[in-house]
Amino acid sequence: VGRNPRASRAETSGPRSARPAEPSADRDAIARVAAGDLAALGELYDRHVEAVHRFVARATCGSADAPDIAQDVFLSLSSSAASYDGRLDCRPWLFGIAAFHVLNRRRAATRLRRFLERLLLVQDGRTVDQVRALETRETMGATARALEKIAPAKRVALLLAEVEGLSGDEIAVALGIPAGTVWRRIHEARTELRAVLARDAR
Amino acid sequence: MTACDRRWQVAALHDGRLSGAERASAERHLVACAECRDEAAALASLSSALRELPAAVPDQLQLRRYRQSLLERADAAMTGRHQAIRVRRRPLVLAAAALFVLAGAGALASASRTTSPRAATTVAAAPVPATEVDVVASPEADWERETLGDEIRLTLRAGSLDVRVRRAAEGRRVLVRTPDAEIEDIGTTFHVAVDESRTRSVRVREGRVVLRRDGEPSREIAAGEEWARVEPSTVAPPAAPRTSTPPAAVPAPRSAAIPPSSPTAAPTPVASASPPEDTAGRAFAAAMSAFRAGAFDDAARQFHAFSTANAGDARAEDALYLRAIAYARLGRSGSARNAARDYLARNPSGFRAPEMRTLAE
Repeated sequence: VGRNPRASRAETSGPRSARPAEPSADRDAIARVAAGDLAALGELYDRHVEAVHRFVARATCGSADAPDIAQDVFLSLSSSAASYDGRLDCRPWLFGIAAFHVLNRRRAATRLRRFLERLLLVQDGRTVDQVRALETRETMGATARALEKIAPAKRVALLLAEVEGLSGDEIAVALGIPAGTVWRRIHEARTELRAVLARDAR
Repeated sequence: MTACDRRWQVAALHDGRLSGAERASAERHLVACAECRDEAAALASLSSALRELPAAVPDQLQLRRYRQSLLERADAAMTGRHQAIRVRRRPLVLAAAALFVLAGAGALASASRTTSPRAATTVAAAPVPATEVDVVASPEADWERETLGDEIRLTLRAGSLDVRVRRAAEGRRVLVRTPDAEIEDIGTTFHVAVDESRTRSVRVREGRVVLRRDGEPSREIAAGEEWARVEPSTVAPPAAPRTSTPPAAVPAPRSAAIPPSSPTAAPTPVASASPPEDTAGRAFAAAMSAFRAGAFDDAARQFHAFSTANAGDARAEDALYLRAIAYARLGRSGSARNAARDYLARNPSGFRAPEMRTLAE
């Protein structure tokens, strides 16, 4: 208990150790994407697609939009690669972009689709959204259900720290917010999460 | 309940925010303080619960589909075009695209407007930020000019046009539509004739154009080539000054003598027989930078060498594709055609295949 859990996690089987061993290859690929090299975009996709999908799935609490959002992350790389400044490794940088997409996913298309689903597709007097919510509720664990109730910005910060193993500074750069804000969001996320879990357990 | 005033330190310790002395002190405190130990255990269990969150990843097949769609969409976004032939103009090329619509049959054309106007278009695509288009129309020409977004469209129904397009860099497309075809200019100077509400001929002086006739696959016409409609023998031949080229249905690939297997003389940076990843990477990068610099001749040779030496490499497909594009940009349509066929032979269902099939025609 006395050890710093983050340190030991990073040394053993934590997500950090799952990162590709050659960050320079990633940096090179990002530069080539910026120059318009599609093959490099394919390389980045192959190396990171699963990690991005996993992060987005968790950050959206398993929303049906998750695959679309993950796809948008890679699609936006051809334009955002040009502004890559090398301050972050590839993976934290990708997570930053993914977080942006997660937090801004109230896109017109999604909203319209939701609206149509609610309007048109009703099963047993319940809308699709309600049915889906019930289905996921049954399969989701308590943690996921609780996490869904946390504000997305706090949820994202917490997941980046606890699951993806990013440092506070990396999260700050990736999200474009001060480090102090990162820690405050993480603190509030934990507090709220624990409150919800305690209430639900009763 | 929160009696211990060092409880705040537990989260800081958990998050690795404490430095040497502070951390040692906090760790010592944990041993002594049960309340802080409980807090640390709670944080640790929350942490592991979060790491065990379900996170479904699409299956491999689905990921492949996403990959293909990603590259297609990114490709379209990068080139700004969705059509098969992409030839990006080098920046700051002052391109004079002179488009003569020989209405040799101008009068004839306006007389015979009764022919049902089968939609066909002549697209002259001239991307440039400052795109200037000078049009000189023949007296009887029936035409108009519109600007639609990033496209300048010239619609020619009859008569002849002499069009000159000046481009500074990536900019507007210039699209020429005739009643039955669409011509996309990917070169600089060409000439189009319309009669009887149909495109009669397209002659290219410099660069290339893409001709898309209704119901026919698009075809590329390179400098020095001419496409002419095949006339049913009963129809009076157009009286236009059709110069040297015979009315062949397909442009004669005059500039197309170089078969794809010949560029063996290419000096390439590939050094050893079984190139290690690094060497292959450098070879590909060298070819890529030649391509980007506009040295398409070198690029084509280097891509060829790369795809030969690294046939199993994931980038071999790209190399074959880029080689075909390099030839297309050089205006060597015959070589481009052969290179496209090479691509198709090895990647019959590659994601560039549709595009390569167009080029291979």
